[in-house]
Amino acid sequence: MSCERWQEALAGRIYGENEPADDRALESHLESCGACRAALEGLQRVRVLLRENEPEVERPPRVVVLRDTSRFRPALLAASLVGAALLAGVGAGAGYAVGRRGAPAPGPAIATAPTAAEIDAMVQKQVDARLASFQAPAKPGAQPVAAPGVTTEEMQAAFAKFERRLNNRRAEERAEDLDYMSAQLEGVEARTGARIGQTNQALRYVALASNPNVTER
Amino acid sequence: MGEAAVSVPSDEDLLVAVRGGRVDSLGLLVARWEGPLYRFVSRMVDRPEDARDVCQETFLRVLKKSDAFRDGARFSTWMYQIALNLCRDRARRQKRWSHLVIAAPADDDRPREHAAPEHAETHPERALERAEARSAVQAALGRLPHDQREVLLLKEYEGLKFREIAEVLGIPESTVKSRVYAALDAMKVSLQAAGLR
Repeated sequence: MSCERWQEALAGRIYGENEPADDRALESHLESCGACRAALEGLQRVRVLLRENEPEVERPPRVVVLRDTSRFRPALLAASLVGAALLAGVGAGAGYAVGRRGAPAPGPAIATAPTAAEIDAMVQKQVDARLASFQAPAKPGAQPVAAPGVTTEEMQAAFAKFERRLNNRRAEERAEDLDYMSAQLEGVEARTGARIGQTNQALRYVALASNPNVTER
Repeated sequence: MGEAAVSVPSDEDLLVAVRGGRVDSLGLLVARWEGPLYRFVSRMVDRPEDARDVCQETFLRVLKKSDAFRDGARFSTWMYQIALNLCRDRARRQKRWSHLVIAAPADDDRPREHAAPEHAETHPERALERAEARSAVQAALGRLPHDQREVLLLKEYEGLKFREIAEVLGIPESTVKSRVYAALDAMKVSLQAAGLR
């Protein structure tokens, strides 16, 4: 056990961040304190283990960034978030309407810029409803959205195709892309009955990227 | 030829541009920071989808709150502050949502990358040992108290200075050093118990 008063200096030493004077004082102390020498050695060994065995990290997801050719308008971002919430909660229709260029005036939910708290509440409500629907027992005779026998590889190919199309960023195709992506994701949900969090996450990315309002003046 | 200097905008320059309405500058900030941020966040929260949520929300808050960024501050410090607050919020909510947690699908075969590929092993036994060691380190990190895990991840894997961590967390630098010491000491005990010495 090291001396408590030297612990900060020991931490500073192993990361090479002590002031020279502090480091000299520590050095002097170490000459006469076996416990602190042992502690220093132990901590350095732990650092080596941490570096050598750094835990795996999943590949970071692609973050779709909103583009704005003119000025950023918070109200529109907020509207796009509401669109995302609706999309995540009740399917493609609502988000599609919000995101489509030249779409009719938005409904009451986005007539004024909602507050962050309102957005959070709406997201939570919709997600709750969606999760509840998944937890409910399946109705007899209900048909999955996707064709049976869709493989993971086919789904990955579909996502890759979608990403390529999104990268082209052709405004007129965004709404179509959004529909396409939504159908694919619905298919995954129907097929697996899981991935709900990931699905909502993906839908949010798509809705944010697919709202052309944020690129308009 | 004249001057050939290539100007690379700093993070702070980019944020000023975002604040001035150039939202596309956020794309550069995201490109620079999404990897480190995701690595950090994914070790602070339990589920990958939570990590993705936190990262997305962090960048959205950077966008929405760019006016709140103090001149002279470091972007990375501010970004980690936002992300940490979101991680803490999520941890608080976790109990309420725990009954809705759905396990990741078993057929999730997306490619994974190891943060230190230079240590990749080809010998099966060594690869297994390495995987077990990584797993032991991950488990030991997960057992650390939240405040110790925060400082250790920022220090060891994100490479922040003690002073920067103090700024992120709003605590004295001496406290950061004490916590890092305590975290390493706890890790030593856990790793020894797991057979790593």
